[in-house]
Amino acid sequence: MKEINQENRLPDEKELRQENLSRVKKADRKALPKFLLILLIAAVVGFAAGDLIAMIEEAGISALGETLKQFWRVSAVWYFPVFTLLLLLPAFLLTVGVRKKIDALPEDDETGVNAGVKALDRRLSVSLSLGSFYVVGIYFSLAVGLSNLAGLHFQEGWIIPLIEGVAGIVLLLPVQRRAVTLTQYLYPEKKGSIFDTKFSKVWMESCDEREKMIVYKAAYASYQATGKACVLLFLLTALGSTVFGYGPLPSALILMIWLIQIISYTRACAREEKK
Amino acid sequence: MPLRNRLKEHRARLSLNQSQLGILAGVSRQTISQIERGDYSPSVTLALKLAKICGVQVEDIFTLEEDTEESV
Repeated sequence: MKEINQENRLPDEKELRQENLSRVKKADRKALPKFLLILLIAAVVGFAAGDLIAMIEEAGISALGETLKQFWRVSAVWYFPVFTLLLLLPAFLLTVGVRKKIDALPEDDETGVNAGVKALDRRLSVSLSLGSFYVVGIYFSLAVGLSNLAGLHFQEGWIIPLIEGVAGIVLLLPVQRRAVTLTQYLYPEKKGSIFDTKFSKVWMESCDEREKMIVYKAAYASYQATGKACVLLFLLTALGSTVFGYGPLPSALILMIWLIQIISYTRACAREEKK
Repeated sequence: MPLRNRLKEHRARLSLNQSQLGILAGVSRQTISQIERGDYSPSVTLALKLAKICGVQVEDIFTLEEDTEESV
């Protein structure tokens, strides 16, 4: 490490601020051309999309709305069996045999144990992720069922999807509980019951500093991804409203999610700063 | 600046496995494993706890890589 002497004394706050300002201005000048190019490309794409929408309207594709309604009515009953087969069944199968494998870990071989734990942890993580995707799929199925209710089609268009939605949640619970219990068997320090409303809080409290850091980093990555997704979804829903005429509500809901994300992040930062 | 550590040596001296050291330090076995591999740098609090368990000073377990090169 450098020793501090008169020739290389540490700068004071004022000097640091000036230096940083110069650095930022230099970085701005360097990044500006690329930023302007991105704006130009976005404007060109926007004009092209506007032209495309005008062409779609001229072609009478707004009648596509009726076709879509028909599609939702017909497809409504199929989401549950497809998602259950593609997501829930693999989620369950991944947990089969895990307990035996945990009991068979070679306790006197540290390298072996670590590798074994890592592999089993990956399996259980994938199982839990598939369960989460399944929840999204079932909610989508419920949304399709409820949207069919608006057309007052008292057929399989809405009753069966609603029953399937409830069945999906009921089927998911034991699979998720199994994956969580096995994770707690693999990591004996992990606490909490998935039926407890404070499960996330109890689980986090049983994580050590390294595990908490992983969660914080993952949460920030998720925050960034969601922000980008909100911009894209807003554009899609706003443009879609010109074709399908469903009004600004879908766009407003996307903006609401974005706003909640920004506010909760800002508040969390402020709370941490106060400590 | 990465850390060098001699945690595994001290753990072996005490005849503890990673799980047992983790229980004493209040962290998971995986965290001990990652510290020993140099994949995770513990907080000051955890480093002090580990040093206390091993009955040594923190510097006897953890050193900055630059410090180690200078002393060589």
